[in-house]
Amino acid sequence: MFFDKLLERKKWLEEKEKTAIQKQHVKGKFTARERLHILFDEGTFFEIGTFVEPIQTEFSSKQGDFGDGVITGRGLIHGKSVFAFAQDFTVLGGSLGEAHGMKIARIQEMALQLGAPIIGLIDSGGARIQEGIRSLAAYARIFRNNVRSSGIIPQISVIMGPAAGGAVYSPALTDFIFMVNKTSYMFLTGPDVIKEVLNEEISMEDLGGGPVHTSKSGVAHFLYDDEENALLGVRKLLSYLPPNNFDPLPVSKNVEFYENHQEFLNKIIPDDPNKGYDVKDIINIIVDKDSFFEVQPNYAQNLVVGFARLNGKPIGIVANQPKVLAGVLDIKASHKGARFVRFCDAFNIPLLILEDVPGFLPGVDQEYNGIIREGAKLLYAFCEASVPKVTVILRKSYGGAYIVMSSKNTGGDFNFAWPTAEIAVMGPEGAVKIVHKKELTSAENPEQLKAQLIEKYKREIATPFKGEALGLIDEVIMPSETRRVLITAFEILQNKQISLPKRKHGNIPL
Amino acid sequence: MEAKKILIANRGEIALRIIRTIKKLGHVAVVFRSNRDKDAPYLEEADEIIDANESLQDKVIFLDADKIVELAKTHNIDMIHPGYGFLSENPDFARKCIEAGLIFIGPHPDHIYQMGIKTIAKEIAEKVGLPLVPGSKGVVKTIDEAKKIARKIGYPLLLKAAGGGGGRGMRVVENADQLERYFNAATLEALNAFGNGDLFIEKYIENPKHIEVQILGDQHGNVVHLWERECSLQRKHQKLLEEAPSPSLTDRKRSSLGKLAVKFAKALGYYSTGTIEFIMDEKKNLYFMEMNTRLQVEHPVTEEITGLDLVEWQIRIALGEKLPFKQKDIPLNGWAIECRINAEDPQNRFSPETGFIESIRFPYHPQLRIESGVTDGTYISTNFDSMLAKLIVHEKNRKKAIESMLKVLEETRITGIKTLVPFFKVVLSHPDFVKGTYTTHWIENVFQHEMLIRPEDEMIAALAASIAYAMEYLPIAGENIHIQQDNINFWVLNKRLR
Amino acid sequence: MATRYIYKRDASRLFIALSEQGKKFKIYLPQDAYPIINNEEKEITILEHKYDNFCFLWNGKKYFTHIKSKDQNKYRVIVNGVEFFFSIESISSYLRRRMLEESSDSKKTVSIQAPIPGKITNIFVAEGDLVNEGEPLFNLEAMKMQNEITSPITGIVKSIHVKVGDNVIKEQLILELSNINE
Repeated sequence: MFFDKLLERKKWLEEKEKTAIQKQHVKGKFTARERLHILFDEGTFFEIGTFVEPIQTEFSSKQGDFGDGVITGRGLIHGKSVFAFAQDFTVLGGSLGEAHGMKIARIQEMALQLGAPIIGLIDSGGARIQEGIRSLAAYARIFRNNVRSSGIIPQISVIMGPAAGGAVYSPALTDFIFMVNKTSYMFLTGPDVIKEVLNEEISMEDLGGGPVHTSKSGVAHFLYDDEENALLGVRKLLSYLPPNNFDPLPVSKNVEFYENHQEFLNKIIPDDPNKGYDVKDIINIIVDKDSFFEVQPNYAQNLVVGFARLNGKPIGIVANQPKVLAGVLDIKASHKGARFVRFCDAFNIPLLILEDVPGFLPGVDQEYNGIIREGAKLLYAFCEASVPKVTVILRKSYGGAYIVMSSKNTGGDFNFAWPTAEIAVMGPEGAVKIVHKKELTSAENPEQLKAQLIEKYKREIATPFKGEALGLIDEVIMPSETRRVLITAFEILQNKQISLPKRKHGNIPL
Repeated sequence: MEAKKILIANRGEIALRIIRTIKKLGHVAVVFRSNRDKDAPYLEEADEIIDANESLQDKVIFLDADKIVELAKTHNIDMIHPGYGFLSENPDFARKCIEAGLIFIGPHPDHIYQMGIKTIAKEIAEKVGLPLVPGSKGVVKTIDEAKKIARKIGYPLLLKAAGGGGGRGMRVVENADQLERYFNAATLEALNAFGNGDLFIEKYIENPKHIEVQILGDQHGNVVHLWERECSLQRKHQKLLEEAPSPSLTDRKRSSLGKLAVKFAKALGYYSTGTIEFIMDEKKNLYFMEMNTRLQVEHPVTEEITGLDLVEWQIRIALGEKLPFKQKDIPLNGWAIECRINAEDPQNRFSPETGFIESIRFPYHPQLRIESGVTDGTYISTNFDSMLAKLIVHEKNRKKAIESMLKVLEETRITGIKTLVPFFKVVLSHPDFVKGTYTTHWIENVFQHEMLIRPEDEMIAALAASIAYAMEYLPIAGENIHIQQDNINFWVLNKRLR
Repeated sequence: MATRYIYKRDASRLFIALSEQGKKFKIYLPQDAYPIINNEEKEITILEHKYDNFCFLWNGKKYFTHIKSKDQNKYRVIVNGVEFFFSIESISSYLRRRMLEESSDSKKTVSIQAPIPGKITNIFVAEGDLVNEGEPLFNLEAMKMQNEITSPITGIVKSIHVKVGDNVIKEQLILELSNINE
């Protein structure tokens, strides 16, 4: 007779899915099962804990709500094992109860034991009020698992619906957050509470929608216009990452690059030092064709970070963006860069740093908000990172910013410079004014003298050849040779190992 | 004639074109290499290159009269050709060359000066009997004078700068209320642009056509005209397309216009090449506008219908040769059209494009002449003007010329930056152009960027995008990524080592 | 012979290419057969394919296309020198788009603020102008560099709150744009 029960359950699942489809599609969302189907390789999803029942309390839900609003399991992405959980908004609003939380925690623990990445598809109203402190406890276990796995397996969250209150902490602890435009929100306290307590009106979208978190707060890393593309984006991200911090990086067989465009690099830096350009143009020429995958493209645009491949092998790129804010480093750019560098370090992804930075952004605003501490974060991250680090100075590199962007003595393995590089304590204008103050005030033609002194400064002090002579720049290279040089450099650094005395962990200025 | 060292104080396609003629005549072609244009294609064709080595603060060499003359002297240059733009219509530059003992390939500096002041040019034109647009006689100094003239000639009227062109210092005044305000604004603008705030007033011609006559004169008083060109397709007073002869003139009108032009040049005592510009109103009345003393960008269309090499004649005239032909010897063969292929985006208000030219391919056509200053890999910046190349087609009649130009445009391929090629396809197919009724306001009033969209192009674009999307997700769907598996699984190894 | 393009997602090779003006092309890419566009089979073949450039042959005419830029599923394609924009949707994402537009109360007014303190050196638009996404609005001089600020949306300039020569502080309201739907 139990055979009948099995058949019955199968039918029940199908029915349930049909009603779920109706409910979700009307809102422009997919059901949890559909999302998993899109995410994983065809037919590889193996569900775990399908029929776990919710706990029964005085305020209980209906009988037979198997699964308790979350689908957990394991599938293959690019043929490799990946664990995932997808919350089902159609069951009690996707709220997290004890059983629901236990399923998630179980899958996290399994992922950690087996060294496989874990993806969370978040679509939940938050903790289940009926279950009281049990839901909170369930959350706590999930958060603890996030932290235990951090830096050991890649953890990715995809916000595909609401994520409010305590529910946002799990994504916040994970490595990357994807959001879907117009149908996903993240906030700690929702608009209703804000209205009640502070009497401020704001919509869910404006408070914590995709655009807010990918450009204002910088909490989320990727924003897509629809769910399908978001899930494809997750697959794309995974193609750059190892399954855990011990396994080697995935190598692509496709090593096409823009051969004809290498020459363009020789002319791409404008003659006028005050003119900006798009560093992404340079990145796209150097790396394998179409392999550049930018992270947080709309946040702190003055620093570009992302993954790419060189000769099929993944690398992480950190580059100043001269066309935004002249490429200066500010608070937002500093912690954006720091987090990315530490992620790459945790997962053994080598780093390429492209530098064109005139300095840190001056301003009372910056100082009051702790640019000192934030800049220190980036510096700490670079110094701490034991992955291969190769720097190419494209144009400006002054003062503190020069040191911070993985200079030789902070531990940069190879430091190259283009002939257009200017490396100095400060820019020529400022330097000449200070050092030659006396001569300039007493000169009969101060403008002409200043222009001469600036030329001299550029030729003798700020020239990259000076750095070469001192061994702080390994070589001044021809821009069109950059790709070739970088591929060799990273190949040399393949088996880099650093050993330090044991410590629990450092104290990065948070 | 012994070989002369001729220095070209210019760049791009005109430098290449002048080099061609210099070499044909057996002379030595010398050019400048500017720091802002270091890899330009014209450098490859020159016999000798002088490095200008401008620093960031210096003017670009082509605008630095003193430096040009200095370098010319130290390099034993015999003659200087200024090309067009830059210093070609700067009388001081011409004088400096002559004072330094160099032969300036162009007209007498006095004529450059006189024709540079629009009011002087108009005075002389009137004396010779050329019809002028009703307006002020010379410069208008005060608002009251302006008001008087306005009362006489009526509205709408045009305020124009006496010291220069290109639309600066120019205002259309529709009614008396606007006069004072615009007068002051135009004066200020002209002062800033040319150092000369003088204005003169003309009746504003509502749907004008721009017709100019090419003349050629030697230093012995002989002057001929080489027929006319129509350059009515303009945007913000910049010409984009020119044709020779003009579809708006009858043969009789053509001859008489040519005669008037020659009369003007002779009265001046002018020699070398020159262009006399006229404006034509809706009633087909022609009025003298101004005279340009440089070789114009659009000179190739005149060369095509007359079979003459204008640069060659500039050089010969400068060396004192006499013109061996008379007016009756100048043929008018067929029809020529020139399109200026600029790096501008016709879909976005003609905004200038910058970037690398990935590839530039023109088709082969027996009646096509290409004057190009760029090649694959050239970087287009805002340092110089946006003209990449000129396409000139010469056929036996206008209809065939339009057909051939359309064919050439259709097969031209330029990738990396957007250009006016699709725009010209729209122009040459438009009834206003085919009928020859287009005016200088056509682009402003008739052209819309939606005209550039061809339904089949749109569909192909959609298909290309879809295929690209599908192909991009092939690797993401799992085809190309694999793990380099070593024998031992690292994860397990790590665990065992703990 | 058509080139093989295999798309595994959902076993669906049906796309909807959507232009900025809302014009749509329903494109089905079968394996080893001609594409079907808007329910009609079109005998288009790919002659050449290098990097992001395709050369199609259709009705005896060659079409050279170049993918100027791509961002997720949004493409800018140049065909014969003319640029087209398409976002490539699947059936579900297209339907989702439609559903969301119908129920949206998208922000009508977009404020453009100064990203950094500086001086306004140039204003390219006037009140009432229609601007396309990406078109320059004004120039802000700061840190000795000219920053050209472009429009984030396609809309109409509703109001301009500064003039050329003004010194502005960070986040100061420069101008407002009215969002126009579709």
